[in-house]
Amino acid sequence: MRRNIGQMFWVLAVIFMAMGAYFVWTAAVDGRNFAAHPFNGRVNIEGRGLRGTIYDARGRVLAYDSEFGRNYPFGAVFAHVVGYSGMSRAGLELSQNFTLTRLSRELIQMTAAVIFNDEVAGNSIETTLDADIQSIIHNGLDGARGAAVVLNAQTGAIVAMASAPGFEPELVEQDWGRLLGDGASPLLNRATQGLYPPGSTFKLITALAALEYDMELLDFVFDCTGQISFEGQTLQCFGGTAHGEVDFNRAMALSCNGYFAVLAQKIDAGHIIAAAERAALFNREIPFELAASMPLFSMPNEPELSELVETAIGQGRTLATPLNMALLAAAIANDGIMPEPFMVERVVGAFDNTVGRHSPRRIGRVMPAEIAEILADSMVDAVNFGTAAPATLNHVQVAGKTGTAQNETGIDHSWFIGFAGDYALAIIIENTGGGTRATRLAGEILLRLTE
Amino acid sequence: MHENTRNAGGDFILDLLAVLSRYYFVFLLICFIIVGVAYLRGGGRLGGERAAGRTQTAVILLFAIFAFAIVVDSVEGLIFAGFVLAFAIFASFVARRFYRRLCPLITNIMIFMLVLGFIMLQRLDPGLAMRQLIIAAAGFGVSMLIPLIFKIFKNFEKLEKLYIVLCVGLLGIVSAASLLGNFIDIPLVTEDRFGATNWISVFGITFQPSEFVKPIFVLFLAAAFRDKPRMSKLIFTSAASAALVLILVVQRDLGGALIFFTVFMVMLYASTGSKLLFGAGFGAMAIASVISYQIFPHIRVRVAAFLDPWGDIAVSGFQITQSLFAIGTWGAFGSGLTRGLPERIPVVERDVIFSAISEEFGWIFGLLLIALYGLLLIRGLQLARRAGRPLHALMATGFTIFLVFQAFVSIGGNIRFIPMTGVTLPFISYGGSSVFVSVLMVGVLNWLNGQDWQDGQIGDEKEMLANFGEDDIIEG
Repeated sequence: MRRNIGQMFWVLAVIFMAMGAYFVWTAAVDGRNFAAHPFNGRVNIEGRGLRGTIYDARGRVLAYDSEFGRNYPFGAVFAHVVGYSGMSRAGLELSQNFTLTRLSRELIQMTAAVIFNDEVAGNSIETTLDADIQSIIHNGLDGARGAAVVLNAQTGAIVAMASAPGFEPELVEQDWGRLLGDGASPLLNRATQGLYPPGSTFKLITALAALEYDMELLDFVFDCTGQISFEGQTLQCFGGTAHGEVDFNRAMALSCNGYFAVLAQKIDAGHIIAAAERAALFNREIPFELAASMPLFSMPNEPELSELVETAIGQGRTLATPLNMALLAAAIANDGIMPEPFMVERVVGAFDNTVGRHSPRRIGRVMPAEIAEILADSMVDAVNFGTAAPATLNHVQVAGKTGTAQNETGIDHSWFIGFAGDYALAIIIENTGGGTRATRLAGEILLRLTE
Repeated sequence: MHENTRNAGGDFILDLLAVLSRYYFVFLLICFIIVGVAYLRGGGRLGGERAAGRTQTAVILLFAIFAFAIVVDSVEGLIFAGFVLAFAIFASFVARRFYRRLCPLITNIMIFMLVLGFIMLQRLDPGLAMRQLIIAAAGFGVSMLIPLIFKIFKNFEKLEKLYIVLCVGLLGIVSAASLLGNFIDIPLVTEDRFGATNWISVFGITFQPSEFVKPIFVLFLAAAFRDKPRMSKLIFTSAASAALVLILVVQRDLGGALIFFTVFMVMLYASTGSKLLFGAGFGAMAIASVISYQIFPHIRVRVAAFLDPWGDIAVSGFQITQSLFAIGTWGAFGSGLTRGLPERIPVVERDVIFSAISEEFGWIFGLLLIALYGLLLIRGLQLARRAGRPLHALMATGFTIFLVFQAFVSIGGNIRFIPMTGVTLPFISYGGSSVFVSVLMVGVLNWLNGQDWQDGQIGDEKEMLANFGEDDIIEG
């Protein structure tokens, strides 16, 4: 009996040790992954002393505490991304609240505070944002409704993210009633939460699906008469223009609806669904530091022909956010590998000590490198002699795809997604009626980034 | 809880105290464990019978005084803290007179855990703390009568049949009463609490019969297995135990079912040493689990919440994710007492107290607390292995496993190591029946310690720990 009990002891000892090891892993390692979850009430805890400062990538102050409360030197420029902190919070001020209020070397700070009647200060945050680029976008979107996301295509570092119309973060509480009542929804961060039909930018997904299905479809040629008919319905190219004989690159450059409508019929709907969910994160949660809406895509596996065609040219039951379209552009720029977007580069303690540093992560390979190259090539053509020509720069090759999104307001939105150098971006401006404002703004941004 | 103050005030100093105290508490618990290990190894300046007991008592008092200084914010709280200290001192110094040879380690572990529980309850819900103290003290008072009870009922092992009838009767009474309550009007009401129908209320006093079944179940198994059981007895005992486990499953007390099953398996193996039976037992449980999973929706809900708590975070995954937040947010030394948000976790004082402790004392403290249950396991099974009679060895095994494995199920559930089943953490969680019975079990372990002394089977104290894993001559 003694020996039996001894054996039972070891069995129990082993499961206890396994539990102890798992506990330490959960508390010390895994905890870092879930502690900032919005359901964790601790992230909204009121801090003691000064709230940490938020900096841009070059050390410019975006938010700081003073005796007058929370200050935002750039005013409305960073309104949605940095957010505000007062009675309620938004943006980084909300998602990083726990970091900003937490005291590094707590015991030393608190002891010093008692002895010297000093103030304690929460951790500061160095972001990847660039106030120059952010200001260009802010001005570019002035008076419009829209949003833009600019990121480093390799690392996923967000360089700028803006939404219009905006608000003054220091006056949010004062303006609260008006802001809530405003039909233009100035508090909404359109860059991550605005849901728009992707329009012709979706043709990149249709093309990807086709090439993944059969590389020989690259040689498909179509004679565009300006409109095609199917099942008694007629689909027009933009402005009714007849593009004549178009190959793959030319179709992308000129955004020929007929070409992609026919191309989509050569493959299964399932291929388009798979490509959309993988390469542009449709129907998937996007891991990010700000609340991001899930881009929505819906099409049955065996759709009606009209639905297939509409979806293929971006007018189906598809809703994209600027963030997920920017990530698609980044993946194409980055040989098919999509980076995970982030803004918090480094967390700095009150003694200038590094509390945490972000290491870039990938969402994963979302398309084969060779197809990424083909898509990039066609986007280059779109800039050089196609619809994206207003984004052309002299010193650097820009690649891009425009989109004109029909929507329930009746006045089309315009999209631009593209990249140049290390940077990818997505811009949408609402109700332009098909103008080139988004594309021109993209050129301005990429000029500043690459000069 | 705290205003966003910019100037250092009195409140600020209390905060500083809470932050500072985190290291102090971890230090004290390490001291407590070092002394415990020294005692297990036997002798030395630290590990002597008297020295170990007194040092640990001192640690407990130092712990309690500082913790209450942070937690207490009212006159009632101050009075409560006084009672707790008085109880700790009484339990440490007076109780030994009632036992032939009280084990200072087991007793001190119990007192430490009770005190930790009182502190957490005072911090979470002062109203519950006093009630818990009264019941623990009552349990402690009754446990001092245990030597006398065993003296009167010398041949208690002969009452095997009575024990199983009591077990089935006590557990069945809840189900029976809920049926009966439909027909006649008596002040006997069953209650659904926290998703389990295992509470009963008689004349206004609510208790959980499954807790009181635990010690009787151990007596039953110890009596049945004290001689190597024959096949017929083996079948009867197994069937009766299986019936008990099944009743618990039907009453939705899944954690209880798992604990009873484990105690049965361990005692069976201790008695028979049959790996075949052990394997067959787990095989049977695996099959029964799959069938139960198919039949009972409440089991499927638990398992789903375990596998993907983030998927349904607002409803079925709420408790476990809040528990994980408590554990994972603050780091190695925790938030400091009173500075966390453990009250965000549903039923925290009863089922999720480990996470509350880990949140405010830090995960190092939590890990040390797990180690403390490990010490209890070592010491309890050491008593079992050194017991002079198989009956006593089995009793010590059963009571130890009930306490320690229940801690495993509770903590494991809190940290998502296993599905959360809502069992109490012995000595620490709020729960009258649980704390009462746990204290009684320690009383029996202390009595068993004295029995070995009397039976003259005790070897050199220093052999105690070394004995584990070796082959022994005495085969039950």
